[in-house]
Amino acid sequence: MAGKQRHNKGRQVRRTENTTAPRFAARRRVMLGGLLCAAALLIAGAWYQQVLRTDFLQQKGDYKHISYKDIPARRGRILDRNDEVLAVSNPVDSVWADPRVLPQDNETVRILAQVLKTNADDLRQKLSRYRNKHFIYLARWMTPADARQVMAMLKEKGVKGVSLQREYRRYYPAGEYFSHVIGFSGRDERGLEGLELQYDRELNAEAGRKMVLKDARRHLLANVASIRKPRGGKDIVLSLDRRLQFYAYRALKKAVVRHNAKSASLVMLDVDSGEVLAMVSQPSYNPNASHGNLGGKARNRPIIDTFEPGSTMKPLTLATAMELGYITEHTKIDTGEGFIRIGRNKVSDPKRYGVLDPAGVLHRSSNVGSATIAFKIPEKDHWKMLDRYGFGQPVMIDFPGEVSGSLRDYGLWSRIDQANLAFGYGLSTSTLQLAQAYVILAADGVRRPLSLLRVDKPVEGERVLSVETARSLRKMMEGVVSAGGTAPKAAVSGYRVAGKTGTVIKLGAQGYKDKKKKYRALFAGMAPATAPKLVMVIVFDEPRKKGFYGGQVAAPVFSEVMGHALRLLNVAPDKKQTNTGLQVASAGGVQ
Amino acid sequence: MSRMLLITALLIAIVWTALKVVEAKQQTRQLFAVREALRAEADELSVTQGQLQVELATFADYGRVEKNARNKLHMRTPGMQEIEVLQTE
Repeated sequence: MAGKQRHNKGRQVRRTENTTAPRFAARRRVMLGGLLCAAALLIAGAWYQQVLRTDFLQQKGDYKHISYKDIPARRGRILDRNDEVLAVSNPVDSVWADPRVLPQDNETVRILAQVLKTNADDLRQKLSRYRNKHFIYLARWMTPADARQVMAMLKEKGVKGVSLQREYRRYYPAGEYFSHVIGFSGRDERGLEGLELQYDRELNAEAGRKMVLKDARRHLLANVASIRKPRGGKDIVLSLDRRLQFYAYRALKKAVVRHNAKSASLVMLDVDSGEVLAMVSQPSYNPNASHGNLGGKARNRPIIDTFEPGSTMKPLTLATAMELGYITEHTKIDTGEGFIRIGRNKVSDPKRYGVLDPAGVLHRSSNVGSATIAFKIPEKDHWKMLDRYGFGQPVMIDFPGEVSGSLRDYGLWSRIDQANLAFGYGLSTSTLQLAQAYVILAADGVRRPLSLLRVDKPVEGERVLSVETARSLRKMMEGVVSAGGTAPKAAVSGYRVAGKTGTVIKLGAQGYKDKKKKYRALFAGMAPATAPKLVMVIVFDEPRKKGFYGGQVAAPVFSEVMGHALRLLNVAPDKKQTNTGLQVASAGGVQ
Repeated sequence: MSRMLLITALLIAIVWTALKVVEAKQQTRQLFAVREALRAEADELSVTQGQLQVELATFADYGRVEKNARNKLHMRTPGMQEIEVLQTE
């Protein structure tokens, strides 16, 4: 076989030598075709990879080097008028695990429980209950420092499948005495109640996102592109004063417990700027705790709840009559037998007061006197003035759920309606609206818009009453707080106080004639009376112990809170002292 | 001859600028790393600031201050008679 081959070869060589060299044309074509095919394949392959699969491959490549990072942004803070923090978002870390990766042997669970300071048995149960899930929280809202420590300890012990998640948590350092005004935000950091809801758009922050380049060891190399710019939330500065709010809250809470009242609300306003300095509701709640099942506790009563203002309307009835020229400070009002009949109805006083001047009507709080005065005013004008005081329309203070109260159109009034309005029945108002009306008396007749945010520039007001009317009303209202009036307990030592009490019968199943009557106790007042700086209105709903009169229940709270507030705001006393301070001070020094 | 000189000079210039580009790139990355570290530190500090704000507000709570003033320091609110009011002109 081999020999034959050699032989053939020899013959072939010989032939080559003898004839022209063979051209192998077919072979060459085959070779060339093969090479061309290979080249075409290569080009096609390259084209396929470079052009058709480019996205996929690019992605694979980028995957190694490019990653996305969130740029955290914080929700804005809420500050009081002196820039003290009332709500702030702080980063916290939650520890989570993937139960399908996390080994669940006894040793791991024991280590986990020890590191997280939880009960090992509970943890084991939790892990086995969720063993088919991808995500469970092991611990929520740890401080970043603690969380880092936990992760370091787990790494040291070789536990895998546990990670951290960055979240923000809202803290309310002022706790329950600001909870109604500020409200709260949910776990997703969006406002749910109060000012957190009202100003959610301003406060809200949007996390940014950027694309970054990393090297093989996952170190950051460079920013590639910013996908979304982070937008931090804006801070909101309130008009409220944390100190005044604290005093108001404490005094109100104490009184609610003492008189076993169902609820209560308080508003304190700055006369010159229309700013709300304190706004408190009872009962309250802790905004830092869980927000489930709050019921009525979350309601910001001074803005949302309405009631009949009762006798606290009387100064406004008198102001209306005086402004329109139907009475003067010296007009004699005959209250007759202590009652007047109006059709089938009767308006009466607790006893006969005889002939009173307007000041007497106020400090005796005579219903008959007020109704007699109201009848001098044409219905249309009476209504117009009540409208200008702000009754029956929202205060426009930018708060969710603000109410307008109710004031019926004068076209629908009967005679008894006008009498009732004179002493505060037949219309409803919020605590804030009533305070707004009293600010007009305090500000020499000018009505200014109210605000829950700090006001830095002086505000233009609208004149509702003349300076003379406002001043003479204030003088009359000082009588209420004197020893012979209905609210001597509202007095503040060193200052002159003007105000009016109200004790309102609540509408029951049988109208106002229920056997067991329920009451509201009110006090609305201002100080110092010569040039008022602060107005405060306090309303108690159903005081059931130790008295129910406005002068017994609400007036002492006024005195306490107003005393603190005037002192804190450095308002000069306007009442002459019987002794000079110096003598007493030195006498005190001797002791 | 002068042409050769020019080409040599340009070659050197190209190599030199190329090295400078490499150097600049390296510096960029280093500075970027520094910036990232500083940003992380700023984050850290803002966390601390937030915590301190909460802490301050808690310690400065008026209820707590008042309790300490009354019980530990035996302070009290002065009566009107003990207060001297100065008028400023």
